[in-house]
Amino acid sequence: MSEPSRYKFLKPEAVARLKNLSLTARSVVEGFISGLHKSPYRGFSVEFAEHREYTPGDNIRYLDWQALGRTDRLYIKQFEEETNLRSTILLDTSASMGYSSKGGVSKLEYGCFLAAALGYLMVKQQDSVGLVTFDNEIRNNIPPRGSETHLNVLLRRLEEVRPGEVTKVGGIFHRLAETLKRRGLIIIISDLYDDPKEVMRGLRHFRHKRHEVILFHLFDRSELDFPFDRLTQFIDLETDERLQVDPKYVRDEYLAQIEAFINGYRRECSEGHIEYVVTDTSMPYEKMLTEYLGRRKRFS
Amino acid sequence: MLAPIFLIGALFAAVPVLIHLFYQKRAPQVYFSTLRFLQACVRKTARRKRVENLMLLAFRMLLFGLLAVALAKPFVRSSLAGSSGPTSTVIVLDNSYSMATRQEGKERFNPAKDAAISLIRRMGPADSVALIFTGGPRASDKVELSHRLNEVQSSVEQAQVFAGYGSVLAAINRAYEVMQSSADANREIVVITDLQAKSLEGDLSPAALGSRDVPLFVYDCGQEAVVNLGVVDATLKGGRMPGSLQTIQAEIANAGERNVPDARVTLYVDGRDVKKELVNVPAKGKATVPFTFPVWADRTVTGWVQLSEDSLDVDNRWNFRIAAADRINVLVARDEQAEIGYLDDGYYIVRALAPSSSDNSGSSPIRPQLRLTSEIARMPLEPFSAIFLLDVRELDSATVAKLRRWVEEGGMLVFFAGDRVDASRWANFFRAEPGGLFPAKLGAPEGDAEKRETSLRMQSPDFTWPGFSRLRSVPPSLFERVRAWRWLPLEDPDKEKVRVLAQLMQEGRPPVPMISSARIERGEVFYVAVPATTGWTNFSATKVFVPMLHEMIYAVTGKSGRLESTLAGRPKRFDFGDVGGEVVVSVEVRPGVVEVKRSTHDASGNAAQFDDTWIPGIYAYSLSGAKQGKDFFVVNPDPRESDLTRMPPDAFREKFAALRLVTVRSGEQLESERIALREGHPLSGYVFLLILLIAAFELYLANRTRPAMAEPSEEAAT
Repeated sequence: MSEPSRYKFLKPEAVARLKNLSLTARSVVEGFISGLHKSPYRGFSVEFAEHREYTPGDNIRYLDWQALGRTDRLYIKQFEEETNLRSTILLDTSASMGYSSKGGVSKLEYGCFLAAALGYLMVKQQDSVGLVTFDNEIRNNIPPRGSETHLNVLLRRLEEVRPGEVTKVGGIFHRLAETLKRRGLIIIISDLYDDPKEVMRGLRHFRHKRHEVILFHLFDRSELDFPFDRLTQFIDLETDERLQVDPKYVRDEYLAQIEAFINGYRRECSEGHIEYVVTDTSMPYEKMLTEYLGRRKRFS
Repeated sequence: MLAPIFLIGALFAAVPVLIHLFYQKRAPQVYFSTLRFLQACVRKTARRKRVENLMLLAFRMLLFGLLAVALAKPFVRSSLAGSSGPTSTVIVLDNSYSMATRQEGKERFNPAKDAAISLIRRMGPADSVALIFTGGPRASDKVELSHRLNEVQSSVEQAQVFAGYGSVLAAINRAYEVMQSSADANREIVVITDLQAKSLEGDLSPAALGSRDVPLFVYDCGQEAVVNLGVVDATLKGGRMPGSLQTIQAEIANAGERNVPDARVTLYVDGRDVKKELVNVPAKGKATVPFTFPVWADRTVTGWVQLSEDSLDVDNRWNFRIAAADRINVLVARDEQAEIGYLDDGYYIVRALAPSSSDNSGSSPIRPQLRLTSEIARMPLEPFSAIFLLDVRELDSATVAKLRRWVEEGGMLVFFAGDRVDASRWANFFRAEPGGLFPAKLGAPEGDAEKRETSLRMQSPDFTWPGFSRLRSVPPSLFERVRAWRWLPLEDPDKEKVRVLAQLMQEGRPPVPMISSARIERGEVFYVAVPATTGWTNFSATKVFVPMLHEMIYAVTGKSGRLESTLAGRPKRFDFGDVGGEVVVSVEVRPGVVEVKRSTHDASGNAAQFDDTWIPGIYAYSLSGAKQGKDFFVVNPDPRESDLTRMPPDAFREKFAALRLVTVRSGEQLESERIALREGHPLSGYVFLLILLIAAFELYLANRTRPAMAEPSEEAAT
């Protein structure tokens, strides 16, 4: 693998932190390459799964001779096949993702970092990873591959990403769900500023196609805290609409709305078996990812 | 009314609007990820916030507006106050010695002077001012309103307390008289005093009562419950012969609310301290300290009784003079001289007082002078220790006032009844205080001296009275030989004020007071219900007449130590008989500083008057051109000023209820009250209070609408 430091979104210190972790899918997914991910197809792999009685035609190579000795009966050993994870990272590149508090990284930059780290991790553990960037349209679609060359392509594509148009998540998700035939892992990185019902419909579509879905819901710190206190004219990054507001009067209500927005997604995702991760860009992404993967490993 | 500056100041009410508009335009533009939540918030809170914002704006505009109002010093014009034209002010400055009392280390007189000076400094050139002192050398000066403010201010600056009594009430009456000469729209009288009760005795004059439009500002610079000991009297007991023991009885008064144990009292004779005593003086009470010492030489002895230092020093010393060889001068006055000597009303009295010789210069210590009552108004009374008024028809008010002053200083006055006495004519001096000579009314004559059908007999007199105590050995029958067929009784005398010393009795009848007495200040007045001649009674012809008269005189005038003291501010009279001339007086005004002064001449040339008795002390004097050596007289502080008891507030308000009274406790308050009356009541204080209330409410409203910030704000921008 080439030196990760050559890529803007893959810093050596982040790589060093991540390389000892393994991304383990919570549910069993199918894959090409034997790896750490369990395949639903039991075969003859290295990890023992169970016994079954021998039937004529079975390869005697898998006869359990020890069991024959003990029980005087013929059993065939079955193994769980270690398979490659086929994951696709869906990165929202809408204009609202370009927002950042003064002096901080934008949500899009943060999303790119996150995508790069996950991609590296996937490839490192012999999984394949693809990348889709979108706003109101799919801007890039790189199918999953497991090679380091592929990772280079992916990282270079991330560097070219720029904030685009308005967010239209719902329709995009439906289209992608139809496109991605094989079961796999869908990692969505977005601020989800779209109609939540449409978004959830799209997510459920992924689940319907038996994909595992991990949703990284990105927020800037100031979106969560709304730390403004002077009369301010706010300009919408996506629509260029303008609104003059005295923040001290709306802050309570704003925070309540944001909380309701997040809680709505959390509830819906929980019901739809979608892993939902609220991500605050003020937290270093490698730390966030380390904690998340650690938590995920404990629960898997 | 509002000052014109308010109109300019009111423009400040627009400040919050301008600030609002300024910030409206200056609102920073910030890119934000999405407005979807903000738009929802604005829709939800817009109406409530708009109302609150408008209220806040209104409050802030009101605050600025009220601030402008407050700074413009608004006031409500008094309906009684005059215009803003010139003001006539009469200042009454109490400079009696109670004002020398130290409060918190400073004399009361200092803030009093400061207040008066401050008052004058604030006056404009069109204003006029007059200054009245309650006492002192300038108290009797002619007072008129003057535009020469500097001169009046200078008078205040040089003013000093004096040791005499100062009647604040009299000064107030005088102030109203002075004020009548002013035609100014604004007229006011400012009294600066310590509200000493005794200085406010008396009645308001008609001029004062008729001037309700002239406000009376009273600046009360006194304090309650000041402990003050003072020597208020020193009397002489014992014989007046060389070699006899003299007893000085010093009377110590405590006007305060606390007992004073072990007060140190020292007797000085001829400049040397000869005795010291410790005495307990009860609160609001008196104690007597006797000092006994022999006087060997037939000469004049001077000395003083000294108290240890307290809050008021002036009254801590009482000077006295004892002249062992002096005689007791007694004036015997009647309305007319009888052509036949023994029919004269004074015949028996003069002989009873000086029984052994016709020239009144025999062995008796009493030297009587027989005069007409009409002469009293013209003659000096100071040389006399006692005055007998025999069968007097009436006394004019000037004579009554003169006798009153003389009695107050310690004189002994004896009235005898008689044919000429008319109760209605005596009503102007036989009446209750103030100003009277005897605190009881005279009743109608009883009995018939012609028919002599009824006679009363005198009983043994009251031996508990010091004057009659030595008559205990006289057989009662001698007293009972005194008979009266006609008498002129007192009408229901007040037992607390009038003491009956001897009574006339008859079986089946209530007793009739024959000799009654009453204290008036330091003096004593007697009334004898029968004449000093025969006719109504045989009193003057009985054996007890002479001893009773002599004992009475010895008892009362025996306190000659005080008679020989002049109270500060009272003129000292000198009567040299046939020798006339100018009196040269020297006095040590301060230790080591002797002032030499001269008296004024009397028209007769045989008497002189010395008025400059403002400083207590021992005065030496001599007659210029005369061969006789120098003699002494003493001046003492008026004991009335030693009583620092203040007039109770209720009594004070009641006394001045007819006037437009404003009482203040500081110079600043005096000034603000004067302005309030002249220009109106200032409202700044109320406006500032309103500002505070509105500001508090604004703060509450602003905080209620503004949520607490989770952390310091951070501008957001892409």
